[in-house]
Amino acid sequence: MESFDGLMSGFAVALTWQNLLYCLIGVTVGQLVGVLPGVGPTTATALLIPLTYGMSPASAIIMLSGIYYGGMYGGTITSVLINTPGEAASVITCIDGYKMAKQGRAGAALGIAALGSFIGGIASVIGLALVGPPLAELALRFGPTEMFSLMVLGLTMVVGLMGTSIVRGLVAMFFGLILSTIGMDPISGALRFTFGQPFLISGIDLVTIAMGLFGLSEIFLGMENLSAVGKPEKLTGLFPKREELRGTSGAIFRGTWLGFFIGLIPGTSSAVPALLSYSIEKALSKTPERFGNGAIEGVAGPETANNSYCGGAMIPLLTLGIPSSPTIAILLGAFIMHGLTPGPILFKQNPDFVWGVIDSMLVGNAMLLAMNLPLAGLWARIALVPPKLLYPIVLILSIIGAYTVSNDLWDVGVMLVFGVIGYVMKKLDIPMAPIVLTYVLGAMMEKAALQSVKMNDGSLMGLVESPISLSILILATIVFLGSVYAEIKNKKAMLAGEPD
Amino acid sequence: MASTEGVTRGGQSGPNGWIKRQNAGLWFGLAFLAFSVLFFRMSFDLAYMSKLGAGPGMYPRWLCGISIVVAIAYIWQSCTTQVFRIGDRFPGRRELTNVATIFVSCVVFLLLLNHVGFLIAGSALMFIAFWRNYALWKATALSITITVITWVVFKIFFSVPLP
Amino acid sequence: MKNGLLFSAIVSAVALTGATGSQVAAQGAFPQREVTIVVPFNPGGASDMTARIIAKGMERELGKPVVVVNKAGGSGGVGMSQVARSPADGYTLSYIPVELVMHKALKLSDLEPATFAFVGQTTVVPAALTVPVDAPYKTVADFVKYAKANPGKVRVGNSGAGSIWHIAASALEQNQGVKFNHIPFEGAAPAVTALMGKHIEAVTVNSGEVKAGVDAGKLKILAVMTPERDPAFPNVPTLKESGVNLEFAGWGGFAAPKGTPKPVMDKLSAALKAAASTDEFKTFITSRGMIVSYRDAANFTKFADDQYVFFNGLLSKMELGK
Repeated sequence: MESFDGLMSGFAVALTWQNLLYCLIGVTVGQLVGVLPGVGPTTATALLIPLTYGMSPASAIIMLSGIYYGGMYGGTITSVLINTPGEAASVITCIDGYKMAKQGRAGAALGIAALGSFIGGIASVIGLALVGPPLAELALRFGPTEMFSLMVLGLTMVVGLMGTSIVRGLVAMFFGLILSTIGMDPISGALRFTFGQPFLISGIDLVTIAMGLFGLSEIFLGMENLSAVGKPEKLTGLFPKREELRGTSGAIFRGTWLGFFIGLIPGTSSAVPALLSYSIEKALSKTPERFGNGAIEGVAGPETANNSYCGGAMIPLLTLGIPSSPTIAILLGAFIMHGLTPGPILFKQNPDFVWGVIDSMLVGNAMLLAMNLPLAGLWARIALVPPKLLYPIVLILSIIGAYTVSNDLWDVGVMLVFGVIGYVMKKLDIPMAPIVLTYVLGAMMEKAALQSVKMNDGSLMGLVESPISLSILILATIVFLGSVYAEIKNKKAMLAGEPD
Repeated sequence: MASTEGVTRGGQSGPNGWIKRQNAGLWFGLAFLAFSVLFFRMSFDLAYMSKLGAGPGMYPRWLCGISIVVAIAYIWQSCTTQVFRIGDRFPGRRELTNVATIFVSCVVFLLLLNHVGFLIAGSALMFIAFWRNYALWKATALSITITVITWVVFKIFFSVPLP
Repeated sequence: MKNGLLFSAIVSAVALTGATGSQVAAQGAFPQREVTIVVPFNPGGASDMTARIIAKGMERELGKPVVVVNKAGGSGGVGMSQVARSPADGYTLSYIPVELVMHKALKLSDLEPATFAFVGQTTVVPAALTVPVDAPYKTVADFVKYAKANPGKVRVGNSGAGSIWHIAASALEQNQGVKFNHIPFEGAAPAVTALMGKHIEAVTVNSGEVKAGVDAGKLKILAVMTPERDPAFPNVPTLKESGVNLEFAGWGGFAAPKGTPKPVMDKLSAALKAAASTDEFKTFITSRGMIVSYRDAANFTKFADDQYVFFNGLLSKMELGK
């Protein structure tokens, strides 16, 4: 039980008063940047690095990782309350979280998200402590080929499980995919579809798209007829009900595993486990029709998954020095700035440091839970603000959020355009989430595909020769056929029930 | 959330009959088709193969090609099984005016910002959003107060370089 | 309230293209507001870390925040082009990797040394031929023999098509008359990760990038491509010692858009010089397997021009890729 001893001794580091303070600062900043549209944890971490230089390495890393996992909590709040995801991972939360808020259950949604995040966070940290190193080896087996298959699986889940019509889902999906090709090609550097606009060279910012499609279109919709906006009469329960807690335990459990394992794989995004978790919960549910109409599992699962993703993503970093996501890469930089090279040697040479950081993540997650459970009720009251007052305020905050993306009106304009597109799409029942998710997955998929083909001498055979890739592709096929089948059955039922 | 139920029944004749009877799905499908075709054509300007393997144009060309098929399928679906008439899907004139108000307020904000600064542009934005629903003095007071608060928060506390 | 500074830093992070739209005229002495350094690669890499430490040092000199923003892709072209198009007011700088002098020859972009006003060079970045620890070859000679026996089968990862490490592998390829399969990644870190997972056979990236992997017992370095042994890996021979007559290294520096006023440039150069001569910077650079090598604006400009000629000659002979 070497790991266990380490875990215990680490508390000696994590529980000193200054480390507790830095941990608190880290998670608070993280949560705040999660709430603010346009500012993400990656940016926050990168910018705070220079400020940590005077600190001891342990304090510095404790604070910076606090921002990383704290940010995941914050993103939930805007998604649930005003349907505006701050980053890709919370897009999924919008689907059911916002519906819950409209039903007066914002408190329950936020509460379960905080609870799920806490469980996911804690479990993944414990996983990191106990079984980290051997799992890291496993994660290395994911090369470009396997990554491509994983992205294909993600895409089939996107299209198969969102919205009521597969054709409309496909429209949304291809819209997102085409948008993702705008900008400089990742492999050759050629400019694509930039219309000669320098702003488009680096592509359209994800946050701008998401705020326009989700947030702004929601404001347009609400402004149609302010008196008719479904303002919840009263908040039904600020905390999740007991039976809701029981109902979501499965979702939280599965979300934890998903997030943890996908976090291990270098080069993924936290949107991936959130998406998979949502799809799985919907598929397993006895009442899948509740999903999209305020199913609490649809919030609990993905929120748990994106938090446990954080813990999982720390494993390749701490054990092998591999950065598996942009934020982690910045953390790696911070390690090196403080004279530490992550890897097995670090565990031997600086056990106090490593275990201190690991334990601080336990402490930090507990802090976040303590902050978020009481706050959930408070935040939820925002849903009671009269829409005629609330919408304009959200509007001006969104505009500033878009402005901060590049400190330029360009992004505000882009957001406005996407707001109108989103409004029309809402009217036509075209699901919004696939656009944003395929936008994220599309670019990763293209890169992986090109690398994979090149690595296998120009053939696609690598996709079926790798056992991991093959199994993922088979799974993707099953999901795709399953959703096509469901669609056909659905249509038959519709035609039968409603002869035209 | 006037009409977002699954399937709608045929057209309806109202005062602005022609527009209302138009198939919204068809028009949206055509717009999406145009978007796909535009990108498909542009993808031919990019090399399909490059000296490094698959070129920058390969993926977009396939993507947009399939997207054209999807657009046609969508148009077909909109015309046959799931017809969305504009009249059923979109609200009446009064509601659309409300939406347009917000949109216009944003455009006004965009045009004004770099000339008059955030405080005035923001107040204008807020005022346009408020004046239909509040008494004049209330709308004015609210818009200025909110703008000043956000300005203070973002400009001073967060140092966003708002003009 | 004491978090105000933190927030200012956070929010200005997203100010990547800030300079493009803001019409804040440079009144009074430079700098009036924060300076942004664009790093045209992913965070976590050697270039990124160099820029971050330099940013910290310059911040002390300039008295305003110096913010680092990553803009990866297109072999550095995305970030550098963006800076080249920014207003020439000194508020947007670019980290300049060696790739700059190769862009034109590779037809990646129209970027060339003349596109920029150089502030100064800070580092030399040595390359190392690295393979998985359990690979069947122990020396460069074994590796070359294996590559000769399996033409086109040895997959060598690089940090992007036409990147310096792609050229490094090509130079070795050409020098030894072998044929590799070059796999582009977005930056060196993903390439090293793929090497650790044995999805590729070798990388020819900076020795600092593979240090964690070597320390973790996953990778081994066959040779460094610098003229002298790398102090971070004293037991690893150079290519020359291994019987391959080839030297290869990257370098890094900083530049502003062409046309930046002279007083502003002087101020930036002075700040850069101070930042590059701190012990903190030197310790860091050495620990990352790089070499501190400061050149002032004039010398760096000349050096970059020389390198431009040198690489153009090399690249035209090389018939990169097929």
